[in-house]
Amino acid sequence: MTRWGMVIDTDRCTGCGACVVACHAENNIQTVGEEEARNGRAMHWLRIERHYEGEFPDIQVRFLPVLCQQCGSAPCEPVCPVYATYRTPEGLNAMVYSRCIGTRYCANNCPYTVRFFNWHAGEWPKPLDRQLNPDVSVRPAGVMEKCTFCVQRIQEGQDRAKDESRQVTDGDIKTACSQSCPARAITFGDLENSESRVAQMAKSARASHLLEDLGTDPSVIYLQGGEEH
Amino acid sequence: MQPAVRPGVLAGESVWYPSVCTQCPEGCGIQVRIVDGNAKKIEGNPTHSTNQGGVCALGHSALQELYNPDRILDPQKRIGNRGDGEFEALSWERAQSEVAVLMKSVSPENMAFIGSEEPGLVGGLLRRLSDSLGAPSPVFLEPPEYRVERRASALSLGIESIPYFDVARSDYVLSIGSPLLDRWHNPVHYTHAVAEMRRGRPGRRGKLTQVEARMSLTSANADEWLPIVPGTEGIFARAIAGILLSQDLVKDLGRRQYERLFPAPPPSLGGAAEECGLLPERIEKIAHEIAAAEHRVVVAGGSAAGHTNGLFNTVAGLGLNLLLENLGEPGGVFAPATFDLGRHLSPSGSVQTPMADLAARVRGESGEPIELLLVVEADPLHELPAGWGLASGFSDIANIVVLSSFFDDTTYQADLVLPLNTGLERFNAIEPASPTGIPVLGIAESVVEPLGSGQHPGDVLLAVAQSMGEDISAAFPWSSFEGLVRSLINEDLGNLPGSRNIDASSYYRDALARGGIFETGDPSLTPPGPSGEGPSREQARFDGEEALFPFLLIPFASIKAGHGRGANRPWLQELPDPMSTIMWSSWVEISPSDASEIGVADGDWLRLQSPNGLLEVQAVIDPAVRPGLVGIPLGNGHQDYGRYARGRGSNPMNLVGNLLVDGTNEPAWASTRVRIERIRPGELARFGKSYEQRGEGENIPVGWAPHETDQGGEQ
Repeated sequence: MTRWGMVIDTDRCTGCGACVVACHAENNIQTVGEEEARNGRAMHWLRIERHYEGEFPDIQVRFLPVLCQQCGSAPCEPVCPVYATYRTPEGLNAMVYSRCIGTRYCANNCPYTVRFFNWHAGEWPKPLDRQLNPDVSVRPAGVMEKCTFCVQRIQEGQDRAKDESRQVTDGDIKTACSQSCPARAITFGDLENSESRVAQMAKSARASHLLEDLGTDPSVIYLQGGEEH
Repeated sequence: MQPAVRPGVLAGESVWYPSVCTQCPEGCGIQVRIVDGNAKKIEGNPTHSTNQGGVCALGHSALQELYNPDRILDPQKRIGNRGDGEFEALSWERAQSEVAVLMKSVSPENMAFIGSEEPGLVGGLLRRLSDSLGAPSPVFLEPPEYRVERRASALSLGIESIPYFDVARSDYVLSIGSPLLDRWHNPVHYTHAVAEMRRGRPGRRGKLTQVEARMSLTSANADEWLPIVPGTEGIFARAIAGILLSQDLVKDLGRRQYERLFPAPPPSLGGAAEECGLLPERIEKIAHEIAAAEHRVVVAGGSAAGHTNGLFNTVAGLGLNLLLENLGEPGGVFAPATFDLGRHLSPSGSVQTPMADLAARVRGESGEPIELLLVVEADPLHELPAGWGLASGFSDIANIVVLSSFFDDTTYQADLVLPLNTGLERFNAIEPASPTGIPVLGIAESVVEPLGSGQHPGDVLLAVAQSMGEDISAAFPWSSFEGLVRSLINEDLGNLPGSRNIDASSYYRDALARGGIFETGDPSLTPPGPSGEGPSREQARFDGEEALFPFLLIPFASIKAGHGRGANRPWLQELPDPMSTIMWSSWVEISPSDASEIGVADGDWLRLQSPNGLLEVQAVIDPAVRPGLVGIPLGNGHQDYGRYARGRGSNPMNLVGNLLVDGTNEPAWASTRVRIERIRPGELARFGKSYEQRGEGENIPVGWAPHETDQGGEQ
């Protein structure tokens, strides 16, 4: 069985933001403009959190890319009254846009605040719309959306392997954030395959989950950074 | 109109084509996903030695440059008053004949040319054009610290270009002012290098120490940050040298080379530490750490080069490499490697005119008056200090012709606009402006059909030259920019890698299929060493008295808009700044203590005044800001530049005056003092929480690892 997962090495990440833009480009994420951004309605499936530790002049900064953790025990799922969000057999926490009725219960229950509501339909003034990825649906107003682990890329990788009569091999499938990261901080793969890079990296002494004590069983693993590790 | 699908590609089929990124002058290798003739996504070219598969935020946004709704698609002629922004379209034929008439009627000494990137082939063509006409040499717009860094590199290392720092193989990187991971030279390359330095060698983690007054993205990522008093970076470097020399931590060769550069004894540690605002023990610790590291390198430049004593700061920083004997050593400093095809276009030794000289001409203070100004893909009005008086000088220039894809601040003042196609619509041939240790020439065909009638700047310049009569046109025998590149490659074929036993046209075809000509391997060129004595130690001078203007302004290039180019892309405007998490606007970073002293709350609108100008901008209270210092990102504050940039935010260069870096003709952009006055409350568009909003016990950022969130918990 496959369980898609991701390992993010925070010692490699510099917070450059390339993954954030890559995610927008790949997943047809709308930009909402200054006014709505000020209202807290900007939609970044992937964000870089910046944390300060200490006081000036001995202040340390840590960057943390945060995206949907694709939880094994996802708090967002049981609260959806219409089963619009569910767990796929391959461990993805999926959204069915056409089922979503916009109660926003899921966003309310997500401890990682990685779910975003479409308060308005996106606008792509011509010819910006020519960039839209044909493999990803453009979401209408009133539905929730979030990181999908680039499910369209997973699908494409699996189709390609099938066409070539072979199994998907480790490294075949890369999410958009992972592919463009200049620092190679993000690795994607199958956590159930003990040979995969993510499975190997997950064993690191530097590995941890976000808010592990909540028992959400995330599929994203963070490797701690800094000199002490 | 749906563009044509390439032959052999099915409707709806997705194909990746190699290309070269044109968003900054470093020319990373990219690949572009095309479906039904439309560009969908950009990824890095994993075989390219510069970026090794990575792409930065600005690089991704090239798609929103291509499909920007506010592009200039046809030639434009001004119809209203200059600066009113009223233009009408005209045909290329008419536009070109108007340019030809101007070029013939204005005598060459009254012409002025501004280009964007110096070493590029387009820059070479522009230089060749001015040479053939007998006009003053073109000036090239680039971040001014780059020229200070080059001059410093020539003095300290004996190379006339930006050195290559082998960060990836280093165990200790001491960076003095240089924002390696921000928009400085090649952020994609150096981001990868820093990551490799830390985690690319199992069991061996290198350390990055950043000595910089401002908390830049690089300072934020450093293992240790020394927030030095701005303008004392050179003294810090000299103090490090003093420790290395006096405690016998270096060998004789290094000592001899260093003493050629700085014959005078270094300053005392105690005095230097006090000037730098650092503890002497801390400076000593850094000196011992770097002396103990097997592979070590000192990087210098950035804001250290933007003070009036920037040349001294940078020479003193780079000079430490001599002491450490790391020239040409793994993890040390190398001379950049280049094929330098541009040398065939303009004779070597062409005089490089500093931008300050052109500005003096524009203001009518020196040199021949300008009757025709030709600007090629550059926005000097946006990027240069307002104190240089370019804006008012422009109104006295009879004819301004601009080659551009957008109505940026300079194009807005043009009389005639010749539209350029954008990077993905053109044939590209780019050598990086600041090459790494491995030579690269990115070459790629256009990956989409052009949206308008815009042309490649090289093709426009060729057409201009060829309209000038036989004397001039004979020096431009090529039918197109691509033809020119092919002939340069043919001429140089023997020197290019992998060219043995292959004919020129197959070689060229293979290069296009790969996205360029590049090697793999390690850098190998050793810098020769100091070319003379370094500048003597000087104190930094500042524009504005401290009593009247108590804050020092540091403008910085953010990963969002860079120096201005990214401001018209919604993705980049809405990308939260990694430090402040601000979207869609400019801001001024201010320390909590300064904010409380002048009664400023987060988001408040402030009026900043320097001896040169006024600016209104919102406050971000940031605990990592050095008290007495304020930072404002570059890139916003355009007059037009399309719907996403128009009137948005403010441009800190409007506050910067005309102080120059001593020993150079480059602006000292980090030397302006300002005073701050609160105007009214306001609210920023921010993705994260503000520092101010986090009270005691709420200091728990969303989603941080468990051991970090335990504070105030039940233990």
